[in-house]
Amino acid sequence: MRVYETTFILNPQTDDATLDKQVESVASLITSNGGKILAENRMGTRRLAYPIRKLNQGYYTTLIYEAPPDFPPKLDRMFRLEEEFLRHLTILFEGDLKKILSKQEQEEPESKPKAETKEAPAESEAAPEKAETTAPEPQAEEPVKTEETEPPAVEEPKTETAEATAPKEEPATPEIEEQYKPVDEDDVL
Amino acid sequence: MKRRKFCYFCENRIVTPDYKDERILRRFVNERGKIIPRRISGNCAAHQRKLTNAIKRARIMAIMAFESESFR
Repeated sequence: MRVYETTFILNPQTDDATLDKQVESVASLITSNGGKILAENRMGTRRLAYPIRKLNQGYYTTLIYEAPPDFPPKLDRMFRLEEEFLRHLTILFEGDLKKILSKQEQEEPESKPKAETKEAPAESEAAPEKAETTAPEPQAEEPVKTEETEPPAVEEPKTETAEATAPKEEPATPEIEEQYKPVDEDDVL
Repeated sequence: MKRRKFCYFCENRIVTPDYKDERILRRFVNERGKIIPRRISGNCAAHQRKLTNAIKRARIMAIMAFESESFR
């Protein structure tokens, strides 16, 4: 079994129920071929960079799943036969699986900011307290097999990643834009 | 005057650029939609290779344009 990531674009002019059904049909094809869906991310309708079949918008959906290596060709064939898929792309998943899985759980019961604020004060205080507060959390958040061995060692990497991911998202980008804007101007000139 | 450039992805600890993240990819493409060379962007070789791949994937999925007169 390998982890794949498939993104496909549907016609956004079809009604929501049909869109749901079409996404479901892809998902059921995965599961019926011995795959297991790990994450589903509907990016929804967004602008296409260039028109496809005279459409300017597309409904994007990404599925991350485990499947046997002979599955992607089957999926590809299905995408080609069905008319409603404007574009599709299947790649080997290269990102951080843990991050994806924990992100999914964030949406449901717990939010990550909460976990961060809990961890931050605990860090400045006594160390035994930190062990108490951080240890149960990852277990509750992530029912993944790979996580189980880590909790005692988690303390340091966990806080690091929490700190690293939080500023990475937004505050980091304006700085970089400053860096790269002049570069672009140079390029134009 | 000349500031030492450093690889964006190493700095931000991004292992693999995501082809769906237009916001980041757009930074490494000029107004025409061309990929900015490594000597200008300052990316390391490994990341530039991955970035190129990601941009090309993004183009296939209509997230980025193949070509455009006035991009951005």
